[in-house]
Amino acid sequence: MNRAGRLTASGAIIAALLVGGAAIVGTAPANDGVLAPFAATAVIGEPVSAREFDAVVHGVSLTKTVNAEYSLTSSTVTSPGYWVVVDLTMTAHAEAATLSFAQLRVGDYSYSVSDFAPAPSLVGYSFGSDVPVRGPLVFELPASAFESPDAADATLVLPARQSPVLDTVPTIELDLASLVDGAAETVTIDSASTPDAGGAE
Amino acid sequence: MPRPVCLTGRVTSAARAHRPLLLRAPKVTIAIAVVLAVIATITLLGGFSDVPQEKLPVVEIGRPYAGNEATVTVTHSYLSPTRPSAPGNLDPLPAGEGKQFLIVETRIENTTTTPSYIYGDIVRVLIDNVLDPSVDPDANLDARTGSQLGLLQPGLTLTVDFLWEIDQAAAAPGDDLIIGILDRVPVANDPVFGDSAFTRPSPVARILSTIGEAP
Repeated sequence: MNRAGRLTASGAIIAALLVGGAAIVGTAPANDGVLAPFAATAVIGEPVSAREFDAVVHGVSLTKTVNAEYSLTSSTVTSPGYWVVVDLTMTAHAEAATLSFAQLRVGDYSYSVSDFAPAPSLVGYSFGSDVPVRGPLVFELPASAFESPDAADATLVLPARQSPVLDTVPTIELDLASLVDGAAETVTIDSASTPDAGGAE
Repeated sequence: MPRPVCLTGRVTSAARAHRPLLLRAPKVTIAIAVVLAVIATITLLGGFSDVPQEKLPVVEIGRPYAGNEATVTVTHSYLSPTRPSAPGNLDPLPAGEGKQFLIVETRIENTTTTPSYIYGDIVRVLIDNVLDPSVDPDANLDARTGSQLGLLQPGLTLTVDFLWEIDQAAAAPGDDLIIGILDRVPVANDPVFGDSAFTRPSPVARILSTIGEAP
């Protein structure tokens, strides 16, 4: 091969390597995708299992005012929007399990679980391994959230930690839009308790 | 008189003596003189303190101010011997002995798409020789419950009471009160936090008011 031929071949190899490298970089998953949690999806009434706990949502209700009579300092709070009360049973596989990072997502908006409910509530509860605990998770959302077309495809996500990297996250599909017409004026919530101990059934 | 010239090209002491005074001075002296001249000129023109400063916009009580992450409306301020409390709750907590609370009532809406604690940095106050804007409030209370407000949800507008405990003799209704509204700005491509970083909150507006009567 003469000098011109060798140069041409070298150039072609370099160009091919550059194109190949660009293709690999262009098609590689982004960091967010590599580290994203795994959604374990379910609907109301269907159990969902994650690495640190199992959960099942029994029902969801909407109200303007929520009342926690079980507390010594009885709390009644009215929202300018709505309270979303999720009736849920959680069975922890480890004592460190928590629902403090639960979120409702409506389109691009996310709403964190409220700390309104006095102890003992599912937020901050000291779960025992494999002991089911049932109680309400309470979220406060503005009225505008229910006017969004995304309200019919809302999700309840239950990450075990703030950044659930490469972890299973129970994700329950909820139709919040359908709840507005049946919204109650007041909902009285119970404390979190084990079902056998007389908790909410 | 003809200048003495050295035919070898060297500057003789006689030639040096005949150079102008400015050229004979050491360079350091010349530099100091130039700096002093610049400072003197600036002083003659009014000094450094007269550099034009943009005054913060003034907002009226009851008028909303829209920041980057929240819209805040300051509705009232007053002094109280007790913390605000929700109706039906236990007796409100009293201030310490010889103390009282300065309470600033606000309405705040989180205008982002995620829950936020930003409201805690939004309001600061200035009372001459009593409180300055570097003092954080002792509490940010949800007026519905009288308890510390947690995360403020997006799109939700709540009444938030900011309170500072001050000496009883330090302020009275009618005293001047400047309420500062602070805001922070998103930072793109932060080396640590990426696009989720913010600048430190800084004042963006002020309310010139007086301390009101307790409701």
